[in-house]
Amino acid sequence: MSAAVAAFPAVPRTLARRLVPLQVAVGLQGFILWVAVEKLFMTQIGFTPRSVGLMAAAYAAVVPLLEVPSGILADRWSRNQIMVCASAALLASSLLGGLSRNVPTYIAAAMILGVYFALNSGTVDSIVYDVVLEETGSSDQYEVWIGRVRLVESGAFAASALAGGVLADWTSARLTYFASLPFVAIAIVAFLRFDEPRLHRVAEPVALRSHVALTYRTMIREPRVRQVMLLAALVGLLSQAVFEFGPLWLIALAAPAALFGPYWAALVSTIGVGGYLTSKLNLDRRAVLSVLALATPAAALALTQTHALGAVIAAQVVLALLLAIISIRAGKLLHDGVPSNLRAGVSSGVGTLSWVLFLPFSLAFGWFARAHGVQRAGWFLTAAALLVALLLIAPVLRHRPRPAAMSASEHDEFACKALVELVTDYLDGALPPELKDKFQTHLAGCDGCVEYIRQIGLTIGALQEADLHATSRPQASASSDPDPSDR
Amino acid sequence: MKGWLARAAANTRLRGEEPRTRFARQPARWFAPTPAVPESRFQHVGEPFPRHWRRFPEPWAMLDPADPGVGDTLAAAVEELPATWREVIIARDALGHDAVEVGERLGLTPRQQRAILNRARARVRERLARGLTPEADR
Repeated sequence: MSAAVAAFPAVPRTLARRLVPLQVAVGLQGFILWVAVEKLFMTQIGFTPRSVGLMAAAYAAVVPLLEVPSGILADRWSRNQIMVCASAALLASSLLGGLSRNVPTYIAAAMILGVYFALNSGTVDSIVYDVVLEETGSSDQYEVWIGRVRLVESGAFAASALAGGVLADWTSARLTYFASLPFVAIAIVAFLRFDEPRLHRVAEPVALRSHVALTYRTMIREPRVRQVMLLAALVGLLSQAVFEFGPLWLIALAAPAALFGPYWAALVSTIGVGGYLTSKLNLDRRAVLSVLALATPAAALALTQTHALGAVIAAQVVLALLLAIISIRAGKLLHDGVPSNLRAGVSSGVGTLSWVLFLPFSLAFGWFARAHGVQRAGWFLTAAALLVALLLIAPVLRHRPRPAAMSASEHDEFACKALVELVTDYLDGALPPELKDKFQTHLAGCDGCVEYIRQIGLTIGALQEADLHATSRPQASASSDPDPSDR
Repeated sequence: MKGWLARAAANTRLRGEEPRTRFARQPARWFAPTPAVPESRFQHVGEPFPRHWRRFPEPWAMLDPADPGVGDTLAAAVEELPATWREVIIARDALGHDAVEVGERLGLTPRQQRAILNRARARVRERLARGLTPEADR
């Protein structure tokens, strides 16, 4: 009945408005009250450092396996539904965790949490990317928006950590599991309200075998790549270890439940603060790198030496912060050192390597901490931190000239690939003079681009002729389009 | 089937990429910009002419808008586009509305409006090409 009005919506759908439900959902999904007091609760139901290590190892073993089915689903299915399923897994995991009274049940709950993480990982990034592309025509603003979404998420992490600590102090650690359930349930509703993108950020299908072989060769043969990969994987391992085993220090020192909240909030905020600091520090300077390389093992060493609660917390927060900075640095080195078509493969190689290394590490840590106390197990962290420091500083000491990321000519040349991006600007007369010259010069010498532009012209002509108002009526097949006001 | 497997593998790889611990994620992941025309149509670095056509677009004989096949392909192609792209391409190319007016109505900057139109046209062209020169272009 209001078709005429709907065709010209008074308020344009904009990027910001469209992303609101997603941000609400991600924020609610991050409001997990039990995370900060998890280790406290685990100790109450009979976990020892050894079984904590076992749980972490089981989790590390199962996550890479879950990545495969979720990668298949991601392409075949709605991403809103994937996020809903992820939230459902989080709901189930929290419920089972809250109900558990022994170690095996809780490990099962942790496995279900693995399902949540596998489904969740990367999905939000892809969704934000596609929505930005759909609403602005380019991905330029992706980093701004994913930054905002992550900010909401980390704000929720910190707030829920504080609230969870207080709640556990007033009532019990067990209650924080049940109190988290409503937030996740509302997150599901928010995901369902989100108008999901229909573009799919599909990675180019490539000739699988040769690509895998090439990626593998790059990872194995190039010593520089190997070194950076190892650095990135070790940083991943170490920060995983701080988040997983760090709270055991507080338990060993009998910290009150309320302290777990601010402690965890500080720990999770290091990731955001680390990102901010990295943008301010010049990590190409030797002095800065040396400070990082000295401070990281020093912070880990402090954990083996002190019995003061404040010092332990400070050491862990500093260690987590340094690791956040180094991980961004390692990511950049990897990014610069690997050709773009292999980057994704190599960085997922890093991810896998990190999980694979973490598995024996966590078992050994747990076993040793049970036998000799968590403080002395801190030597495991110190050893890993020393390795990180060496790998961080080694390339600087060897004075290797840093290769240019890409040959300059590759970007300067105005090739066909650049031309097709600018066709509409050209036809609309919106190209600046010097680009217009390049465009026309290229066109004069390239039959392929001439044909492309001719075809775009024919397409526009056909669109003018076609009675699209009549043909683009809501069709029977338009069930995939839930929003009839688009017409 | 093979393409499907490759895409599933690529997605799986994408998921393994995110640096994270059991509870915390690293800030953001770097994504390469998505081109208007699929990357595979151009030569990669290492080939003789990087960033140039791998194969020139196969010439179209003629495009007869009255041909019901063409009309249906067009309608289907436009229908497949994201809502904002669809509105832009219908307003600009089918109804011949003015760029400024379309941008204002949809809350887009002129640059965004042109970028969306360029991608939408490229998509629709791709669909038509698949119908017109089935073997060559895909």
